[in-house]
Amino acid sequence: MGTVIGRVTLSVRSPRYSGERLLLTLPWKRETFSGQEAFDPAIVVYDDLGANVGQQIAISEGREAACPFPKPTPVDAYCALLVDEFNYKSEL
Amino acid sequence: MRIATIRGHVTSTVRHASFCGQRLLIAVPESPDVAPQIVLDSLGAGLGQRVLISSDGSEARKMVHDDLSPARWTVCGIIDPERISAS
Repeated sequence: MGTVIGRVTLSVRSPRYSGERLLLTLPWKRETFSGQEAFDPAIVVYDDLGANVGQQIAISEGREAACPFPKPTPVDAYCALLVDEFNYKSEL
Repeated sequence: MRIATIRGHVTSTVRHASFCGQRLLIAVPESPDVAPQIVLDSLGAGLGQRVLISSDGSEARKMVHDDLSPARWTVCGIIDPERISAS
């Protein structure tokens, strides 16, 4: 999971990118799920779904991030879904 | 593969088409340095259960029947509860 904090725009870019939205996103740590403001360093996430600043998203990282593209594309973080709601219990 | 505990779930309306109808759970790995992951579950794992999760994307893509899915983590088993001896 991550929280979107901004956008990245490119004028000069890989020819494999087209119509991309790139989100600057803070990945969540364990404490973030319990409501603390603790994040990992920001990463750039490729987005097809239209996430806005402040949106909580689920990020697919690694090789799987490039799977939605029919041709090989240099992407290692992909916005897989926009989170409506999540429920988390830190203590059971 | 990692041992993790199910601590919650996620709901989403706007998502990659391959996630339609999938159960999305929050799994917290037992190693403290690893962040919680959202996992696909087809086995019916419940809140508080210990599960085995795998980051094998090809298995995840088979599970959602979509070769273009960005899915990565899946629940591949529910760990048996520890036996408590009477003595």
